[in-house]
Amino acid sequence: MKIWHLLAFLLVAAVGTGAGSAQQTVPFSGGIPVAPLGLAGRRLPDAPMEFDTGEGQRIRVVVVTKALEYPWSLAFLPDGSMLVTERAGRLRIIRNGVLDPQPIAGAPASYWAGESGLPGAVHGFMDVAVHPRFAENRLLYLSYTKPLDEKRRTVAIARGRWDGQALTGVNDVFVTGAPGTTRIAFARDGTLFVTTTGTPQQPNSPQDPDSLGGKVLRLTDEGGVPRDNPFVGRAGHRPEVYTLGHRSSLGLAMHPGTGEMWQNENGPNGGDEINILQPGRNYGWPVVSFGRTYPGPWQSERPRHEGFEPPVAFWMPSIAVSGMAFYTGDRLPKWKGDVFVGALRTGEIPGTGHLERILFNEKMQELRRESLLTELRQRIRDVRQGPDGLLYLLTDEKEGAVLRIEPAS
Amino acid sequence: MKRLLMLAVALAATPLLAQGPIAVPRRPLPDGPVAMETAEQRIRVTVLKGFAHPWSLAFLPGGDILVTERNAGRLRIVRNGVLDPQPISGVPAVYGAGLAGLMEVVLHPKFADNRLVYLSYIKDLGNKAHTPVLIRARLDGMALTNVQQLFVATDIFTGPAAGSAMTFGPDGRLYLVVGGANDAVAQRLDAYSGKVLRFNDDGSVPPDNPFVGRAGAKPEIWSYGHRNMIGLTVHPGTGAIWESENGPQGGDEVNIIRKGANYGWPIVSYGRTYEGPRVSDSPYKEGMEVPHIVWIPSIAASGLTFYSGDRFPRWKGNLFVGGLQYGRIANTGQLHRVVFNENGDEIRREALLTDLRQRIRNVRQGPDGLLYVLTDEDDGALLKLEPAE
Repeated sequence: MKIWHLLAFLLVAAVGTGAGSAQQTVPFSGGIPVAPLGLAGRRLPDAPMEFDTGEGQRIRVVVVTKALEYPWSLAFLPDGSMLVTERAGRLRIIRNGVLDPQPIAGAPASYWAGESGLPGAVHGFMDVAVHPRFAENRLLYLSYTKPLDEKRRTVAIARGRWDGQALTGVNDVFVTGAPGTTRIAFARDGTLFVTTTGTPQQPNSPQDPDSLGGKVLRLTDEGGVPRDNPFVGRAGHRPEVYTLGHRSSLGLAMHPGTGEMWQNENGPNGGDEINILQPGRNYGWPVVSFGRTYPGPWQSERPRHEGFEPPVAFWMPSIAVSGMAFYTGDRLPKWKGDVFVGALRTGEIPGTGHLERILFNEKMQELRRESLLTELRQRIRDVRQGPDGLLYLLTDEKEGAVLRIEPAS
Repeated sequence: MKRLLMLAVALAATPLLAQGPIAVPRRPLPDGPVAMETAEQRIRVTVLKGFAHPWSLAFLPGGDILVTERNAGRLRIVRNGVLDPQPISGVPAVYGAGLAGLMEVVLHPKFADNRLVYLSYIKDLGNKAHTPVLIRARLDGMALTNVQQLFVATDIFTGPAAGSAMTFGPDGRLYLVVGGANDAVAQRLDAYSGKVLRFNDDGSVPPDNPFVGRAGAKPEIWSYGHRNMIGLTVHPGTGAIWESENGPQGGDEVNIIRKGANYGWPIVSYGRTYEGPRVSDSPYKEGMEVPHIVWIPSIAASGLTFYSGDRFPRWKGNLFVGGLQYGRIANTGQLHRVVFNENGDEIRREALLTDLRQRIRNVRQGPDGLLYVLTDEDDGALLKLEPAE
């Protein structure tokens, strides 16, 4: 495997564009710098690991399972069992800490392609969410890439009933009509937020109110349009749109105090953002960004955000933000109120995934930021708080894991 | 109702007073060489201990290394990898509290002929007041002789020490930065704080400095609107002066210094104040320079250098920037490597030496084509980075 990587690198390096004399030769492919080998992957150990962290919160990291392949999202059922999606289109369940070897039956067929983290990757299953009244209706929501025919595919939101063993009565409640990645989350009022991405074919769709690309949508739990959506009844505007101007959203979490929906999105080369979603607002992509394009020039001529909503937090360089959660539990008291964001890689270098923690003041203004679990060298795809008040992470790896962060005694 | 929500948020947020130390535990620096994997190059780090808060270093023609120690105000010399226990004599007394003390050391471009070295340091003015000073002296064996004071920043500082890095430009002029500008003084041309200054090698003012002859402006000023804790280096290809500076909380910058230009502090910044609010609504304003590289969160950027040697072929042309701490958490220092495309635009950034948990104060390329790094600790060290097989 390693030799294969090295060979691939040498090949790419050999055909790479020649650079200036004083500069190392950086190979480009399709206008994008080819990432270096990066830091070599490390296998997760079986035994728990302990780490010191910045607030005096010593933690133990337990590997719940590493028998998953590129897990994408997780959700907790009222009985404490954990649902996990895998990007290859499988829905898995972990009961009492044990992964059921059989994927859950009844989930929809999906399309996936490529390798996670590389250009051209398409994820089969993405997010999974539990209906706010699950105890009554047993409804689960799944966002996934739905194959339409041999060539076309779209992001869709499926809903099915959980009978304790399988999904039944699965149907699509919403079809976005475009490919990409998506997160979904229920808001306090019971509406379902859905993130969408633009496409290379329509790079300006995030600014087009008549397109569903590069938006956050707000839907009813049936997939319909809530009457109080900001653009309902406005000509040239899709009524599902809640906010505009997003790039590649990979995190969505409701603030536990305000009920506002927080979203994060990947900038290109710098400019990853966390935004607080306000109805009808425009978050600027691709007109404004704090980041650079992958080949190097700034995305916007000036690093301005005038006329657009500024992010509440951003990253320079990029950390490839992914899933996001507010920590509200009591088990990790030094972290109460902090925001956790998964990071797939830092500064465009493979092997540098980690978990990012941000401490805010009472006005939700940032005070400090910490990189956690850098030693593990895992791409962190998702982070959630469990009903036990602990933090759960997913690693976006071939030998993908569920990690649990506990206080170390 | 809104007030109730606010209250709920306030309760949910971490009570700051209940915090433990905002630091990860320190790690003792190993004595022996340490092998490390990096993204594009395996390296071996050799450790030379025995320095107290070293600040800067300079290579003598024979390969010996001069190292300044900040608080003690000592100039040390390393010969063949061995630190001379005796400091070099003749360094004036420095104000050595906190971040103040002896800072930069640079050699005259014609040092081989004239043996001239330049030092910047913070001078004690009494009553806790202090100010940056530039001196020039001859290095005669283990002594500085003919010590001349070339410049005193007339600003009186009582706050944090003004970081005072220096470099000679390809034009033969000496560039000195005066930091310490936590407020609007950085915008005032009648003050030195928050400026890059430019001198002739004898400390006089070059006539083509941009504010020469302007009433109320200090003629030494080359650029303004800078903040603090600054590094300076010369781009080996273009000859441009590159500068690093600390934002407050977020917004550390690397700037390409242009004559007479305004770099914006404190009118615009990418960062937040330490208390949380943004410094400015927008990081950009017409007429102010855009930083070339920005850090969010801050790494407490320190010294910087371009790598132009052959020993690390995959690092050629990369910019190395020291970081004292990451995200306002102590013991998280690192060395950053920035990779550019052919036009000098950033395409990649890597954090190195993170496992060491040392405050990285400075980085320079040696005449042997290796990289040398200083750690800003009580038991500080000179690290030598070599390629490892």
